[in-house]
Parts: sequence; structure tokens; C-alpha cells
Amino acid sequence: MRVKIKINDKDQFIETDPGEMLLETLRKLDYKGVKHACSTASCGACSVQLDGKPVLSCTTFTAAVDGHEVKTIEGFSDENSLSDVQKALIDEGGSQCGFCIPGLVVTTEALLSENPDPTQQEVIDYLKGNLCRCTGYESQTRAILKAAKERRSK
Amino acid sequence: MLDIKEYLKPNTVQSAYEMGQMPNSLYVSGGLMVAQLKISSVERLVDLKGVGLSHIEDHGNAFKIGANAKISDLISNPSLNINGDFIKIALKEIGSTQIRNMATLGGSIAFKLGWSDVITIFMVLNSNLEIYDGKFSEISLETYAKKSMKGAIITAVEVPKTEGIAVFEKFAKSNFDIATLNLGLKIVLDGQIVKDARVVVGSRPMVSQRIKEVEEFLIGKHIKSASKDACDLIEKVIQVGSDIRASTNYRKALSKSLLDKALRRVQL
Repeated sequence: MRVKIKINDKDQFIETDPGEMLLETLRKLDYKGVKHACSTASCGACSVQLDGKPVLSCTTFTAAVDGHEVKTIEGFSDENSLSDVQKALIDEGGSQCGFCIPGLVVTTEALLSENPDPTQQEVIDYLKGNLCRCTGYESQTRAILKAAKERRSK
Repeated sequence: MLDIKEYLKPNTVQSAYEMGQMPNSLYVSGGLMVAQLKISSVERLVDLKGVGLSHIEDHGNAFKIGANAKISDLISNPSLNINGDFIKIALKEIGSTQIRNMATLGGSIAFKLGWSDVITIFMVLNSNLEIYDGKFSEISLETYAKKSMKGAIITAVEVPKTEGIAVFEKFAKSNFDIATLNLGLKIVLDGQIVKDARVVVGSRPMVSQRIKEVEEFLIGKHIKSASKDACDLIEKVIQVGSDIRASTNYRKALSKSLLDKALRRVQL
């Protein structure tokens, strides 16, 4: 079946199988920042924004996204520069192996768009679906609060 | 990827129902549950999102919520105040941000999953379901949970506005894991005397169920002095089972502990 999805501001017409998941479709289209991990809606590594809200692409049918807008990690920075959230994560030691970071950044962008001045607890609550087995979350939470503060001051 | 032949997108409830009656068809709403199915017999998915049903309407004595409303829509809706902030606080306990952005109210009920927090939360509020099975009808969520209604579509959930204080408790191994046991309590007090009580327990691991013996025990009693005996009673009467998460005895002990916590919260 053929679907039309706007991915990172670009309309794409895609041939997809009826049972295909958005994660598979995006990776086939070379959006490799969308990570394939648990496939059970548990870890958040495959998070993308669907119409501005973070969802799990591993359990989203591509057919259901027809006519909608998807934003992947590739849409938040270009090849030559990192976003402010990504920079803050590096500065604060919030990225170690890095596998979970694309999903974390996509979810963080949604948080900061809904709530530009989150408390530490609000960051923790919003991001509890993005698992990280390296950092223990302290440095990531610190980085997100720092990026939020810098964004507000601009 | 699910090995299916067709993904259909009807735009009316009636056409969705007709498609759903074809052999090996399955309805899909938020998609979270269906995406994880390992059933090879499903050939056709019938996507219900195109039929609308994402409204949240205040009907005076009740809220009518379309079955396709997302859990996150219910949390963010400023007018949806039922028993204070009960619904919003309770629904925030479910899953993660991403899961709440995907899961729909109807989809969370339709599978009648034992571990559903949503069923416990809406059953404790005495909710009714609007169903389409060739014609529209209403059924209480409590009855729906016990009855086989294969092929029917949940179109809306009606939540009556009633007095009282409601709380939701769950025990899970991590903060967004499936509950080992969940419990909803709604109490109407006249001073310190319990005028009405509703106790629902889910993740037993069977589907959520009212614990009527405890409700009847509490009514007419002083809440503070009856609490301990109510907690002892739930441990005795509750029907629970064993699974990978917990044994029968562990769940019985948990029911006592969660009811104790809930009774203390309604007295705050």
C-alpha cells in the first residue's frame, strides 16, 4: 500500500506492507538515528515525534501514519552541528554509549516545547519511558535543565 | 512486522463494524497492543481512528469520552474534572509519555487485559460503555469486563459525575512496569461515616473486579475505626492468582497493603 508521510518537513510517498511498523519504514529510508532495540514499547530508543508528540515507532503501524507528520532525531540538527540539547548532554556527561540518546533528545524536544521551564521532577516524569543503562539519569536530567535554561534566556 | 494482508481505514462506525465481521479481522485504535500480537491468524486490521470518536464532552451529569481519545488527551483536557483531579493523577501512573500519547481509552478497555490500570480507574468511577454491534447500546464497564462481546466496537465511555473522593494505587516492579496489583477506591463520607464505597482491584492477574464484600462492610461505619478490619477482610475475600509477577499469597498481602494506603489517602 502507498502512504504519504511528511518526514522532517519533507513529503514522502512510501510503499509499505500493511503490517509494517514505522521504525522499519524509517530505517529503510535511512533515518538510522531511530534505533531498533526492544520492539516491545519498553525502552524508548525508537521514539519519534508524531504530529509533535513523542511516540514509539516500534509499535506504530506505518499505515496509521498516512497523512501525518513525523520528526526523527535527524530533524533536530543538521549534519554539521548538534542541537543545544545534544550539546548539553555531551557537556554534562549525559551520553556514554549513546544508543538511547536519539530517542531521549526527541522526547526532550517535545517536553521543552510543551513546558519550557520544567522542574527536575517534571523532567524525570516525562522521560521515564526513555531507558538508559549507562548514565543513571542524573547527568541527563542536569543537561536537560541546563538546555532549557539556556533556551529561555535567548 | 505483522504478517497481514490488509490495513483498512473505514470512516464510519457502521462500515468499521462490517469490516470487523469479516473472518480474521481485528480492530486497531492506538495500535500498541495489536502491534505486539503474535497471532498468525489475523489477516486484516480495521483502523478505527478514521471514524472520529476522540471527543471529550461535558453532558452535565456525566462526561462522554470518545473511545479514540488518547490517554494523554484525558490528562491534558482542562475541563475533565471528575472527583477532583482523580482521573488525571491516576492516568499519569500509566506507562510512559510515549505510551500515553499512543494508547486510546477504548483500546485500553477492549482487550480486557488483566493488568489494565485503565479498567480499574474507570470501573471505580462506575463508568458505562457505549457499544456498537450492529446497533448502539449501553453497558456498564463492570458487566463488559465479564461478558464476551466479540466483534463489538466500544464507541464511547460515559463517566458519571458523582460525589466522593477517589484514589488509585498500584504496585509495580518499576515505575512504568505493568502492575503486580492495582486498586481503585471511591468513598463518599458523611462526616467520618462511610455513606458509599466502591473498591475495584485489577491485575489479580485476572481482569479488574469490584470487591463487594469490602464495599458493604465499609458502608455505615466510621472510616477510621473500620479501616483495619476492611484491610483484613480484603485479604480474605479477594480472588487472585499466581503468575510470573507474583504468587497468590503475595497478591493477597498486596491487596491489604494497597487498600490500607488508599483508605489513608481518602482521609487526608
